Amino acid sequence: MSGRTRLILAGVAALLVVLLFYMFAIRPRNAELSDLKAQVEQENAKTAQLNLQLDHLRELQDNAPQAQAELTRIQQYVPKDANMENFIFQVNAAGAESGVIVTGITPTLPKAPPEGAAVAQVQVQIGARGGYFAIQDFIRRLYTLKRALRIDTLQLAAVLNETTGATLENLTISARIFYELPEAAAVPPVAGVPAPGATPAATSTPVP
Amino acid sequence: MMRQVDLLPERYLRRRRERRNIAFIGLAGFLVLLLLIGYWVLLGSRVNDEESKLADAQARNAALQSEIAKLQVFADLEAEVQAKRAALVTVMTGDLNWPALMTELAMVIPGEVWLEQLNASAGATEGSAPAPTEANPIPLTSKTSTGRIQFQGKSLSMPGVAKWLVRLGGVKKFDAIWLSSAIAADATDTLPAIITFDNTIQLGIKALSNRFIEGDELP
Repeated sequence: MSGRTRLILAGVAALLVVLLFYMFAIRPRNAELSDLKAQVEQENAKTAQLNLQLDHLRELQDNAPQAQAELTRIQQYVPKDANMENFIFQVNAAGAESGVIVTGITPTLPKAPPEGAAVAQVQVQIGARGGYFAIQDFIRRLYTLKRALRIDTLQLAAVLNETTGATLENLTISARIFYELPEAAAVPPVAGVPAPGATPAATSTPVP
Repeated sequence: MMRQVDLLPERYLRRRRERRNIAFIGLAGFLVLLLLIGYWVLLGSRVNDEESKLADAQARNAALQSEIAKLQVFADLEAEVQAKRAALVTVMTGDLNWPALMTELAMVIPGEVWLEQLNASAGATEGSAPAPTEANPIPLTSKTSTGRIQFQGKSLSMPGVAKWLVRLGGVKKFDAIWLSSAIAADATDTLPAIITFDNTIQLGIKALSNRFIEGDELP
């Protein structure tokens, strides 16, 4: 073997040793380090996210009394059940305060509202008789009840009071009141708020 | 001065040079290997550091998650409030301000006109019947209709009917004022002809009550 060949072989052997060491010792450790760094970075990002979430929750905790109060207020307007007896009292009181005679309250069985909200609605026909401004006051009072009430149709017909000769108005309104959807009821499909003038759903899901 | 003479043959010199070169290569290789070993040890130390950092971060996150789980009840409360408020807003969207509408009507009705019947309905709610103007191929207004009112009434004169229509047109809440009919009854010697009329209006965006929708506070 010539000296030159020995020299080349020595160089190759040295290079091989260095290469093998790099391949089997340094490279895996480098990969492990990169992997760990990525994991640490990921965990740090998660920490930041969790901190944000925690800050938000602490803020909610601070605002919990207000949220609870608002929930109670909403539950006044949309109670847990139909609570028809209380509604009759409220309508009757509104009628008495405004000087109209409530001639009828006719509720229908509850069903889901055509707007697709997760509440149960009771459609109520309310009849009343009185002067125009008394009726206007009656409607204003219905709107300020601690119960969400929406009037869909309103009919006024003038009638002559035979005894006094005065003209009175016969009022018929179709209103809707709402209560929380019972847990047993199927949640209606979530729908967007229909634009005024949009066609409502042809049928509504009955609510137990 | 004496001159140095190498008596060894040339091949010895060459072999010595080769041995020296091989030794240099071996030494260089050894040095590189030593550097690599040093780097490897350094990497090991960094790996340990990172492992320690990872363990710390994981422990910190676990603690945060535990705290979050404890406070989740407040998020649930907030979600319940939001959902119930959204449901209320959804069902009350399109609600008309009936008391204000009745006030407007009372304010604009002329003295010689009186109403006998008023039928009103909101949007496309159950029981509502669109006014003929809403379904007409040539619309009377480009504004969105939020409801409609049909009036049946009487007037002492035809100008009284016109005045009624003019005044209705002056109310910003009312659009598409349309007279369906105005028919005079036969006049007698003692009584003037009474005009029986029938007209419709469409209600605009301004007629909406926006109850439960505007602002954050409930009424």
